[in-house]
Amino acid sequence: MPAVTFNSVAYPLRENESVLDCLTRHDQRIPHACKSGVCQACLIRSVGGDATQNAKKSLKPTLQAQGFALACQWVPEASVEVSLPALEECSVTVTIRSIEPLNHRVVQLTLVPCDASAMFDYFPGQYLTMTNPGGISRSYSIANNYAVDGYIELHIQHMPHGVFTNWLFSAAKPGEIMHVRGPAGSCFHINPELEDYPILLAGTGTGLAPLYGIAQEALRQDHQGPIHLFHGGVAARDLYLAESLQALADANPGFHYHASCINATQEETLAFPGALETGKLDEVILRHLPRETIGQARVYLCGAPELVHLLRKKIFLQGARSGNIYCDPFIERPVEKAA
Amino acid sequence: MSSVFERIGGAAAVDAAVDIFYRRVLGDDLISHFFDSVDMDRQIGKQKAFLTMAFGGPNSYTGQDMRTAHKHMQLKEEHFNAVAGHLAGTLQELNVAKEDIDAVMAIAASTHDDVLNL
Repeated sequence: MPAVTFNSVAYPLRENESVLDCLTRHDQRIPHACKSGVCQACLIRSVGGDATQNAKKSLKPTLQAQGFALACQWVPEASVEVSLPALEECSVTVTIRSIEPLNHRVVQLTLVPCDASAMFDYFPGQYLTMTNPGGISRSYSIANNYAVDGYIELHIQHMPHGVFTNWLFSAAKPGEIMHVRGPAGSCFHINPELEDYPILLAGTGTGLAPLYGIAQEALRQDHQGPIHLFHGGVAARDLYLAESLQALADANPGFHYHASCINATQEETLAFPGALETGKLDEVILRHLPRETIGQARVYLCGAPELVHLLRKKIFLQGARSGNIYCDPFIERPVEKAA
Repeated sequence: MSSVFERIGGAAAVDAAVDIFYRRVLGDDLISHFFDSVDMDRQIGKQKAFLTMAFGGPNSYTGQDMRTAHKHMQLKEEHFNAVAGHLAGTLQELNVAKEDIDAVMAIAASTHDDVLNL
């Protein structure tokens, strides 16, 4: 039986199985996202042999020449050996363009690649993994479209004991060099048939980053269905980009911005750009859910894992199709050094 | 004669049924906690496997699997009946012919002792 050898272990292949499916089935952690040969997150190196034409054809000739292939498109006919590329081999060198506060604990970080031709393609809402000069890596969702703006935008919340964010919020400066690798994640807008289904986007905290990216991309592609974006916080000061989102709603009749927090003073409510609702996020969403069309809706949920789980269940019970609910639970990872 | 699984539409019928079935059990307070997992994709996968089996489709379930999988849940007769009721209700929602529903319910009933670890 043919097998895929990875880190010196041979994993038996099933018939017509891709390298990616085989390794993930055996609990090996291989970065991947679209599984259709588009995103190139599952870049893998063929050791001592050639990958199939199908697995290489969409890669740049320079990557092909180095033995890279897409694990998701590679269905080997005989045994093969693969390795994951090291950080420098497949990450993009970027510099910090700006660090601007968005609220009391979130900053907008923008990055530009040192060599624009080295920048990877991604869908707004997917995430990248960033490594700082100290070798600390973290994953963040991408809030904009690089191909449109010419820079990468991330929203980063300060974690009181977080090694990475402590560095970012105190020592990092524009011009500093970092490495990014990506993309990964399945929370993004793709609608080749131009269907007019409703889009529901909901999250708390920096869960707004992917949602903002997806909303802007859907609007840019002139999405014909209604788009509802729900951003919730404990207090009004936890929300951010409210003015931009309200302006987006004013300019686009199909786009609806629903800001909410658990408690708000009258002052905060009056000072807020647009309407500020009070209540738990799931309650606020249920108030505005388009019940007649929920069966067609695409739903994107990003943020704290417990909340994402709760919202997913409630929206599914309201009639959304399980396959149309895309979730990106933000998991706080333990501190780890980059390889 | 074709199997129930083929008559009601094979894997496509499972896909159509799984959301309805899972929504029903998740919305039933008596049993929802058995089904409410953080990993909803995995739960949906499990329910697909169950429906495929109940529809008489290709599966590799054994009585022993059924016993092991349900052992820690301390299920009672009422839980089994509730799930069976949602299975029948799902098929009714999908306008499956009565004789085919009966055939599916017979397969489901055959798992009774293993599921309840009797």
